[in-house]
This record gives sequence, C-alpha cells and structure tokens, in this order.
Amino acid sequence: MDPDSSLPQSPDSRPEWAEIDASIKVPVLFFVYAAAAWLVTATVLGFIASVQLVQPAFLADCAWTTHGRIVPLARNALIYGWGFNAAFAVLIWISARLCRAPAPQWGITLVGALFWNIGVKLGLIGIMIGQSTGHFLMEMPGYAAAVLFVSYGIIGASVAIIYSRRREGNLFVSQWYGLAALFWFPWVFTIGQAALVFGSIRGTGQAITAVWYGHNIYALFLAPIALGAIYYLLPKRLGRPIAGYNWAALGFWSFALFATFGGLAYLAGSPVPGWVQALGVSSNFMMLVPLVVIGYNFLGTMLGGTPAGGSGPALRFIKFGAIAFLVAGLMIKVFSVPQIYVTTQLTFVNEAMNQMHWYAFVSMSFIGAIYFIVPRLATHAWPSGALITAHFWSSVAGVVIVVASLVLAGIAQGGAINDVEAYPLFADISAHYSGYLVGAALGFLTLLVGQLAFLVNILMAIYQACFGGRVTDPTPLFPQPPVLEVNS
Amino acid sequence: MNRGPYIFLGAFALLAFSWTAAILANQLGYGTLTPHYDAMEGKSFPAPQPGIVARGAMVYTDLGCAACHTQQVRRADLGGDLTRGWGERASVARDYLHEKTVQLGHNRIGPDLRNVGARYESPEDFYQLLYAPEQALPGSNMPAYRFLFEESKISGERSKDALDVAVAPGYQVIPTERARSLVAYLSYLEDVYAYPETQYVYPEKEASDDAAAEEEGQ
Repeated sequence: MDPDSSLPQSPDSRPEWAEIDASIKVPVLFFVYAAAAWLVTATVLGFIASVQLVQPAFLADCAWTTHGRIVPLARNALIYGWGFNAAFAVLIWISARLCRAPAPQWGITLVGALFWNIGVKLGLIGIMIGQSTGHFLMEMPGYAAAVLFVSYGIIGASVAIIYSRRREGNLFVSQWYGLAALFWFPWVFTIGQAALVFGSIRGTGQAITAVWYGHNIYALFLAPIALGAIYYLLPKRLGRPIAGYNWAALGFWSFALFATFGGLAYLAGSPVPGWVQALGVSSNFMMLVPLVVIGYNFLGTMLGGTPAGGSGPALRFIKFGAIAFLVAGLMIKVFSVPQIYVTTQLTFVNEAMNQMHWYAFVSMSFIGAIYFIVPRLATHAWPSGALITAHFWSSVAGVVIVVASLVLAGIAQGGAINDVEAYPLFADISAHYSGYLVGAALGFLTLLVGQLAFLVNILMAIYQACFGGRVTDPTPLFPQPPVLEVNS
Repeated sequence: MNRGPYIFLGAFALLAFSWTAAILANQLGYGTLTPHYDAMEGKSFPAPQPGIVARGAMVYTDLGCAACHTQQVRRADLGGDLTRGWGERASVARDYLHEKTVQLGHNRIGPDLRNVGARYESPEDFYQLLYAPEQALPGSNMPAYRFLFEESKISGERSKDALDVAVAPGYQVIPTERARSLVAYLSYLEDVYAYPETQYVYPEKEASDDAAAEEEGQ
C-alpha cells in the first residue's frame, strides 16, 4: 500500500502502520463483510422466530423452519456468524496495532476465515435438517464443530504470531483481554465438545456442562474482546488516558474469575447439586467487583476532566456498548435475587439477558470498533454518514425495544405460571404476555433496518477500497487525539 | 515489563480452575449415579428406555422442542410447578440417567413436559396435540406438526391408526414413524417413583406422611 501524502502526518499514517495495515487488510475486511452479512441473517431469523411466537402457523408446515429449529439457527448465526467474525476482525486489528507488528501471510488467515464461514454454514444446515445436538450454543453437529476448530486454529495461530513478533514490550490492557480470549476459546470449545458432542457425560451433568460452555463463549471470548475494544477506543477517541488504569488488572482477573461461573445461575432450582446453583448465583453477585473497577475505568474516562478531543461514529457505539456492559451487569444481579428469580427463571427474561449481553454490549462494541477500523484499512471515509446515523439510532431503538419487551413478557409469563388460580390454562398464560412479543418482533424489525444500512455501507466501503483509486480527503475522518496507542 | 507469559499462565490456571469446579467436581460427585433397584418391585428406576422411546427422544431433540418446553419440575418453594400438577414431586438428578441428551430447557413458552406421560393417558391425545394443537387446546400457541403425519386416500378399510380429525371425505391422517417414536417418548416421561433422595432432599406430603406413620409405629 502506498502511504499517500495527502494523509495528515498523524501517528496513524506513520510508515510502519502502512506495512502493518497492508498485512491485515484483506482478512480483516473479509471478516467485517462476513460478520455484517451474518448479522442481517441472524436478525431475519430472530424476527421469524418472534413472529412465530405470536403467529404459530407461520412457516410451521415445514420441518426445516419449525420454531424449534429457527431459534437455535438464529442464536448460532448471531454468535458464530456475526460475533466470531467481528471478534476476529477486532482482535487482529487491535493485536497488530498495539503490538506494532505485521501479521504473517494474510492469505493463510483468509483461508482460515473462509473455512470458518463454511463451518458455520455447514452447522446451520445441519441444525436445519435435524442434526442438532440439542445442547445450548453447541447445537451444530460434530462435523461442523470440527471444521470450526481447525479454522480457528489457523486464525488463532496468525494472531499468536502477531504477539510473538511484537515490537512493543508493554502489553496494554486491551492486549491482556485479547491474548487471554485467544487461548480461552479453544479450551472452552474442546471441553464442551469433548464432554457433550464427541463424548458423553450422563445425567444432569450434561446440563451443567452446556450452560458452562454457553456462558463462557460469552464470558471468556466475546466479552473480553469487546472489553478490549472499549479499552482501546475510549481513550483513543476521547484523547484521554484510561481513568484509574492501575486498577484495570483487578478488573481483568476478577471479571474472568466470576464471569466464568455466571452461567451456572441458569440452573438455580434445577435438579443439579445445590452448591452448583449457589456458585452460579453468588458469582453473579461477586461480579460487582469487576463491574465497579471496569465501570470506574470506562465512566471515569468518558466523564474525565479535560475536554474531549475526538468524536466520530465509532465513539457513539463504543459508549453505548460500555454503558450496556454496566447495565447488563446490574440487571443480572437483580435477576439473581431469589425472590425475583422465582418468577423470572425459565421465562423470556433469559432471552432478554442474552440480547443484553450479546447485542447491547458485545455487538455494539464490535460495531463501534468496525466503524473505526474499516476507513483506516480502506483509506477512504465511510461512503455514507447518513447510513451510519440510521444504523446507530435504529440499533439503539431496536435493542431497547427488544430487551424491554422480553423482560416485560418474561415477568408477565413467570408471574402467570406461578399463579395457578388466576391462570389455570396455559393458553391464558400465553395470551397474557403475547402483546409484549409483538413488541419484540417490531424491535427485531427495527434492528434489521439499521443492519441493512450497515451492510450496504460496508459493501460500498470495500468497493472503494478495491477500486476507489486515490485516497479522498481523509482529514474530517481522522481527527487525531494525542497518541494513546500503547500504555503510557 | 513483558507480562505476556503471566497472562498466558494466569489464563490457563483460571480456565483449569473453572473446569475443575464446574465440570470435573460434578462428574466425580455424581457422575457415577446409578439407577435405584427396588427389591420389592423387582425393577430398577428410572426405567430403561426401549428403542422406540430412545428414537423419540432424538426426534424431540432434532425438532428443538426444548426451545419452548422445559423438562424440570421445580421444588414447591420455587414457583407453582407442583400446584400446577406438573409432577407429584420435584425432579431429581437420577430421573435423567437414561436420557441420551438431557434437555432441561430455558424457557416455558409451553408447559413442562418432564411428567407429561402421567398427564395424558392415550397416544391419541398426543397425536391430536401435535396435529392440530389449536383444536385440541383452544388458544394454544403451539405450532402444528403436520409434517409428522401423512394424509392418504383410504383404500379399502380405514386404517386403525388413523387420527380422529376433520379431513376431506375419503382421506385419513396417519402418524409417521417419527410421530410414533416422539409420542412413545412423551408417554415414557413419567417421574412418579419416590427415590430415597426425593423424601429427604425435597420433603413433601408423602414423605411427611411416612415420617408421621413411622413415629406412630414407634
């Protein structure tokens, strides 16, 4: 790539960045495109599933599209399609930039990326034709899991090589999260698959393993990378150092320690040992420690004393993601109070919390990072600012509508199930909350509008990057705050 | 300072701890739980799954029934499961020993099914529910599973397996092999046996009656 003289002489355009960017440009842009396409797919599937809850006859006559298959399809498309592709893009970018080291052989990473997406497609087809394994977030049949595992090996190895080549000795907090997540995912994946898909644990130990796996895909892979992205972009875009940076290590270790057991709280009241339930619920309360530390880092940086130096589309999404992380952490505590979970367990509240973790926090942070990364790799401004604004507001509105409707539906549902005298028949219960589900369906539709705008913008940006010719005036796009690329 | 190796070792130690506590400890703790042999009845509980039931469990898994149905009856102090008649007692870990895929479920969009075999007597009831839930249970939000049935022209006599549903004259609706397996599985779901642990861990009416009787005996 030819470092263009019209780029402002800011740290972003130092010659070494050109070398680094050239080494990651193709795979990262591919991951971004694949992620956005999966995001649209996942939301369409989520919309179909929520319509089926109100109109059971919708697409019910074909086994492939029965509600029980659409639900895992939507979930797997969102996590393994959108979440992982976006996480790979963010992880590769952050690692290369912060290590100040180029990636090896981008062609090999691209092969890993292609096979990852083939694996996800195989897995979804497997679920659709009835080969689901039946375990939460592990529904994909074993052969698809094997493809995912090998592709992850290729992608993960190229990230590991970036770390091994690093020219910057210090590791910034974003790199701790990235490096740890890089190794946690294959371990969690192997344990889950070995225990449930390829091996067999008997009895309710299966349920324990499944929630442990499902929650750790979030807690030990997606969440750390999203947190790393926030730690990277907040100071960079605001032009301020992380507030209370010395505490960030406590936030990192305590988050991993307590979040890893959070999934067990789903089993409170289930036929599993009492201490497992207690461990899950108490871990959710102990999450207060990382929440306070990370909250101090984030909010302190956002509200810091000096005037903000930067702005841009990335910052809005990143701020939303950071606040959603804190709100989700508080919500999970509320729903872990025994007097409350008596009502809200085994209801739509579980789904609302999934949307809160996966969408409001993780996805919004990834989207923010993508809005930051793509113009720098493409060396073109985003083709349309209006589409970004549309994406932001429809995402905010959509995620608030979806989460609020599902929480209200879940509370109504749980209350009605426990009130046998007022609601003796199950038909009365579903009639009692179905109004909220209409809201959820509309929320998915709102999300979809923004995501289509996102996809169109990405396709145009990639087109520009490939055939755009000369760099357009990037000055308004890269308002540079003082360099905060590595820790001070 | 180069913290890379510390991050790696710390991350490894943390995951090892998480795995040990959440999975290994449980496997050691009750991974070897066995069915309970009742000498009086000369049978062991839970009852082994015949082949058709095991196949039905696979249909239950592949159709994703667990998206809307749980399979866990909760204790009396946790919600209205027992008052709703979803079971005679709360579920215990031993109930699931023969399940190839344990699907406790996360959301009760439909009723709990752990004991559904005790609630519906004949397979015909299940077929009606699967073929036309709206007719069998007015107001139900369950989708129909028409693809588990075959509509065929009656040639000669009407099949004895034909469903008692409204259908064009001269035609009949017959459950497929998958429907038969699924219904065999649902009918099998009947956790009524009182294990030793159901009396002590979840003291309920029967258990307290037993205790009272014992005290009287002494």
